[in-house]
Amino acid sequence: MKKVYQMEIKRAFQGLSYRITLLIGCGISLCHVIRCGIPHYRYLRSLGGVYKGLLHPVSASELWMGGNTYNIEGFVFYAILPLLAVFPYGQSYYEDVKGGFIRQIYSREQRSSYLKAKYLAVFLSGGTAVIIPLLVNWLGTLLFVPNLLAESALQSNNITYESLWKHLFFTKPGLYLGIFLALTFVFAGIYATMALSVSFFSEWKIFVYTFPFFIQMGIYTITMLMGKLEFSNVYFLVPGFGITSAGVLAGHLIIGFCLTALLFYILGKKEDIL
Amino acid sequence: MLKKRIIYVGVMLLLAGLWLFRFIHLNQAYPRPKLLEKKVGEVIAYTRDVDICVTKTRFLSRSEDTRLMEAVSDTDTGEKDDILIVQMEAVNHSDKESLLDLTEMCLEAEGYTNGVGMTEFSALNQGEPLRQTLAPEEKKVFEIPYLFYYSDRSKRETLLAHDFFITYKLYPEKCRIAIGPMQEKKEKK
Repeated sequence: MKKVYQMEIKRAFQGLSYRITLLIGCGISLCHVIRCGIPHYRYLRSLGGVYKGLLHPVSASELWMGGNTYNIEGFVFYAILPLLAVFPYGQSYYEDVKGGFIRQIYSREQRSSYLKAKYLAVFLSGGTAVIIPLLVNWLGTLLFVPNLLAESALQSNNITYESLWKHLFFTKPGLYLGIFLALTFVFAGIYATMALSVSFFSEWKIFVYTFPFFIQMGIYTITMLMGKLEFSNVYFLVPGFGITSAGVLAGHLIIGFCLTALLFYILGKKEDIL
Repeated sequence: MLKKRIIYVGVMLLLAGLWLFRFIHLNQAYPRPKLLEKKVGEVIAYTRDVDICVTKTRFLSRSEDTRLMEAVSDTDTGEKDDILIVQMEAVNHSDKESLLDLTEMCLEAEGYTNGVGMTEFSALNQGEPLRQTLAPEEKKVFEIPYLFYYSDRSKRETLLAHDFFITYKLYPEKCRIAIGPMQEKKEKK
């Protein structure tokens, strides 16, 4: 049983697609550091330490890729988050079934063990493929922008008095960031495992790859038309935008887990492979 | 294989060390601001020559609210809006003229900021400008208005429960005057 977990984790993290995804994600992150971080440092130096009235150097927690919603790299990253999450290993169940590899596994291992191991490997690979570029960007930004506390008076972020954990954002940005990275990890994991569930319904590999992305884009479009962008995870996962409704977050997580974990396990147990 | 791993770990440690050095160096050049906070009734330095003090805060009653808004425009305040008045005393201690810029007096709470209502300030303070020049040893009292707009009434209670501050300087020293939560000051309208 342990062997199947090790094998799946190894396949997920040592695959070429995992490395390519990391490269794409880190590329977007570094673009942001070069385009925003370095010019900001030059600007800071040009001021020569003179700050009058309500002038204040921008803090890293507001300038990094997830610190605001007006940087293009951040928007692109959060918009393609499902693709980045699925690409490393999300399509593997589909490939295992189509390639016949799953028959060999089922002849040696219990079906439930394989399904659990697959779910875990896909979840972890999707989560880390998204988290690592964000961490690279955060650390890269800290090289050029001071780690100051965000200021409410400046309105350089979207955190309002209704946002969840706003006190942490203004007093302990590291902890606040940690919470959002954990949430992003879980959402990326859910999107990655969504591809597993879709594998049962599709004959096309491209559909497996892109279905979670279109789900996210669907939610984004509907919320945009309703004027409720705070309900779309393209926005509420951005730490600098914040979460205003715990119910929306819980709803996303519950529905997400039901559509992925339960559906994949139930359909996987029933599927006629042999 | 082992040699490769040692090189990899060595490079990683070197990068981490460089990153840490740069991080510490940058944050020593731009440290977090020191907080200088006073309460209502306490004197705080605005500049070396000018001291300020918030003496009183109150919400305008509905009738005062309407009268003030009529004085500055044709529009009436909405049912959901409030006007907070902060009474501030400024004293110039020096023997020369000093500047006092009231546009910098920002009303702040966590996740909320509000500027001085300019036309309302003029109406409340007999046409006084927001940028003041205080004569030597001059003492002046101002009434600074802040207009609250709410998209719905439920948000009003949430906002007014927060701790509010009048902030006028952010860096390298953050200077603010704590005026507390606004709920108890709010009059029944």
